[in-house]
Amino acid sequence: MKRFTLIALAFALVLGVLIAPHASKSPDGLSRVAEDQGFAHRARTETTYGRWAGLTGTLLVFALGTGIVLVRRRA
Amino acid sequence: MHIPDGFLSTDVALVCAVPAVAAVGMGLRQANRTLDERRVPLLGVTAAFVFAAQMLNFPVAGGTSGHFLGAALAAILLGPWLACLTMAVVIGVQALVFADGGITALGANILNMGVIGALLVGGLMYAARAVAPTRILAISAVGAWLAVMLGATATAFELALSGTVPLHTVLPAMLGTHALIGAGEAVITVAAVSAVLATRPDLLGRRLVTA
Repeated sequence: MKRFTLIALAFALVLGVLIAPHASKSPDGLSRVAEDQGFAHRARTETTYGRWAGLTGTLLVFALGTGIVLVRRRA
Repeated sequence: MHIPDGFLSTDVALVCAVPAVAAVGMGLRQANRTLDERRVPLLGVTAAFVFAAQMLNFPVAGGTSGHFLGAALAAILLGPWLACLTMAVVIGVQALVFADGGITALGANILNMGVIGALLVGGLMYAARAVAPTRILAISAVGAWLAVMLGATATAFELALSGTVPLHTVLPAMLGTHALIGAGEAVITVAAVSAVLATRPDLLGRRLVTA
């Protein structure tokens, strides 16, 4: 499991750090429908993904997910 | 498919939060008994892959993009309730850290992109355990597509019930674009499940029996 975990985590980090900057910048399905149907302006928030979000976010959800399981197993 | 703050009425947001909280609660209950020692990191790793893969928007028709959701994959790897928990971790971090999806819409987003797909595909896995374990790739493909389509349907109903946009315009538009995005979801889910089957089939074998 350790080996699988490390390889899968490394793969996720490659996706998040190296591939994500090249992802499509077009609006996604819901955003596109919101633009086409005139309710996009109602959105009150803009996403704040920076250059390293693929690194920090991926590690954060890994830590949170693993942490929750470890805490629950002790309960 | 992340709903930002401002799209949903308070009533609809609250009603959506109820099943989301319940499903996450079920996931938390299962976290201490379903995962044996060796599978402890699986939830975190699945969350990490889903988070990273969700960043990879791929172009679909006409200046629109789509991205992976991951609920189907999570349900195949972890079972329905732990998949709900996994998706809540991902969608929660997206909303709270990266403002991707609204805070008030968090319950709706967990429901649409997590719970619905996780329970649907978890149900398909359960039904298939009596059929044939080799059907897992077919379930991955069909389940992933259906998870996206059902999530898009739920999103359309929530927007319409909130008075944001009429159902008869938003539902066909959401289903039209997400029929293509769902195909992408199916391809990624099948690829990921194939990779796990090739390297760690034991992670899936037991799941087929106990899902």
